Amino acid sequence: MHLSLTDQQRDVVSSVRAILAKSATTSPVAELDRDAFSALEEGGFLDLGELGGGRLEAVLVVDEAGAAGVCAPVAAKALVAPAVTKQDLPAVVGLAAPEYGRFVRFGAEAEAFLVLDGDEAVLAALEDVAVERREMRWGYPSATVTVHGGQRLGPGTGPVLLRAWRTALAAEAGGLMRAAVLKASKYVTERKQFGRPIGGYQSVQHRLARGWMLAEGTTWLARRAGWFTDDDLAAAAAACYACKGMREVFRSVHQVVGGMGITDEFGLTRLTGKLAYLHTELGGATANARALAAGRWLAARSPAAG
Amino acid sequence: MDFEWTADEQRLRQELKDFVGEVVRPGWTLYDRDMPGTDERDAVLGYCLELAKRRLLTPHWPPEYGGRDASAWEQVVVSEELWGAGEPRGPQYMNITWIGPAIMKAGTEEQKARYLPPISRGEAMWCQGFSEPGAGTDLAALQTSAYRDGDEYVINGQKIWTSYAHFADYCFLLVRTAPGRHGITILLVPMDTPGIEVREIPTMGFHHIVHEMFFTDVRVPADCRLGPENEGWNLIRTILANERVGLARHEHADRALDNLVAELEADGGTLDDPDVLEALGNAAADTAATRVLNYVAVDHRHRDSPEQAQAASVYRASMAQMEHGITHTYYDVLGTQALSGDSLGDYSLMFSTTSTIASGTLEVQLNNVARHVLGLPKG
Repeated sequence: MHLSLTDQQRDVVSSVRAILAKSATTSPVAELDRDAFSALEEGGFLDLGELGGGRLEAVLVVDEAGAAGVCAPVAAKALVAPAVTKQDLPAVVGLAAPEYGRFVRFGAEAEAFLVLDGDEAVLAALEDVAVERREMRWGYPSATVTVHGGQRLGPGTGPVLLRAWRTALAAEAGGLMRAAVLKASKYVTERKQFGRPIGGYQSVQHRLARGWMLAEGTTWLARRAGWFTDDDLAAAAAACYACKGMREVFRSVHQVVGGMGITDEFGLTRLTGKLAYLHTELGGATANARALAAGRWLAARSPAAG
Repeated sequence: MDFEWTADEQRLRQELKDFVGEVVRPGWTLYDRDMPGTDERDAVLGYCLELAKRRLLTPHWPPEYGGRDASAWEQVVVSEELWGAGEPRGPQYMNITWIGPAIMKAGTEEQKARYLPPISRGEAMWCQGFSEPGAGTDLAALQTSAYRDGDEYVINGQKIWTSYAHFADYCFLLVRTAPGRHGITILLVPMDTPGIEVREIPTMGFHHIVHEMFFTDVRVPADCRLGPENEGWNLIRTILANERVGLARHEHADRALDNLVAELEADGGTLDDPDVLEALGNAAADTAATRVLNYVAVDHRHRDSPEQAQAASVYRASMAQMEHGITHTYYDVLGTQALSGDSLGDYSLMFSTTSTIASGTLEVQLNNVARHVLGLPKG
């Protein structure tokens, strides 16, 4: 086992970071950041197979997009779609899982949908769905999507979609949490009350230190799930831990940054709005925890498992 | 980046599983490793002697000290399989993880020849004389003194929370030889030296393991000193940074969840309850995160990376909280039964209660992350 990035992975990370530093908007509004998304697409980072990359490299790209607070379906295009189908999909792909709810990030912007339907994944075109844009201030533009058709991708593709989606969720969450904790840390280092930086108080330090631990745990579970691509438990653990972590980090960073944190001007909400949204996806911590436990302790006993 | 175990590591893992299957004696429990009595002490010694005979006690040590230069990853495998199985190693984990390495790093050739072979043979029992009534988290405030008198040091003072002192052969003792942090010296003290009194401190659940030690005009030869006088603090900080990283507590916690499921079902319960699944899944996710954070810390140490202390603190913070989570899962799944003496929940509660206190409190680990990772100011 060795856990440092390869030279190629380091190049991917630094290139994506550089692209997003130039192109990502700082707007707090939950709308598709087309400039950043296009820049990533032009750089080849939404189709890593072309660059010789795989799932793990996609995890790194999604993590960086999360850390930059990019509002774009990077995960769906770079990580989830290649796991499920070899077909050439349009850039904006929506991920739908009706069993967990009808809300779909970028649902109104999407040009195609990957839909979780039990054991099968479905590739749905615009004519296969009914879309209704919903007002959403938290992190991502969203729509409710009703699927009534599409191309079924075959038995077994459902779990593949779910694993990749859970991995992607954790990868984005890791970057978001890291960025939120670092932004809050910078603020509490500068903000003084009672004549000293509030970051010197243990109550503040411990919230942020725990936040960092949760971010690191999430990041590494996502990477591990990106390595063991067939491991349901690795993906479910990553998603469960990510969802729990996002909920806590949201609360912690807003608590220590205080009133400034809720302003558009400060920019924290651009990250935390996504934490709020993302931690509810795929059933949130509860559904992922149950899936993890069922996979570990019940699946092995099922007749199908022999 | 590569998360796979090598073929050699997998072979070692199987060898260790076979070993555990062979040596576990009937009735062996987690309490045995605390060595409450002479029978358990003898069992611990027998176990460690057997480990040493099979070259599994100090595999990561250099060959000249009885090891085979095994990698940090092999050390993880050893710990996962043995600590994870609840091995009765008693105090010898300290010998292997940091006392031996400290002697290798700072000891004289004579000290290495005297102390290391018994450790690598599995014969030696050590305790650590660190905490004092007035020096716990603020260890540098310790007051137990030693002064030089010819070729001897004369020690006076009191240590507290000393695990295994009742059966230890030696004490890795921190003493004050001058004021301030730079006035701390390490002495390697034979526990049968006149003037040392060991008293047991009764505690919740742990029997005959926690002690206080009184030193009254204890005279030891000056060659018991490890490293230069007044330079013990820096050595101890370096050595202890990795103290708990070496123990695969995530594996033990993960297996505790399997044991919990077995206990639930043995009592007629089932996994059909979604609340039970949720509790188990949450704990399993925390354990998975702690496991991977341990691997990250080990990877930093393996590469001798400058961030190894920070990574160790992140892991240790996660580990301590994970152990509390395991206990809470026992409550959630078993209810009051978790507190009965025949439930592993009983041991889990005792173990996790101390895991956020001993060897650097959870608060200290979080302080370390806040200051050394996030760059927050000192309060």
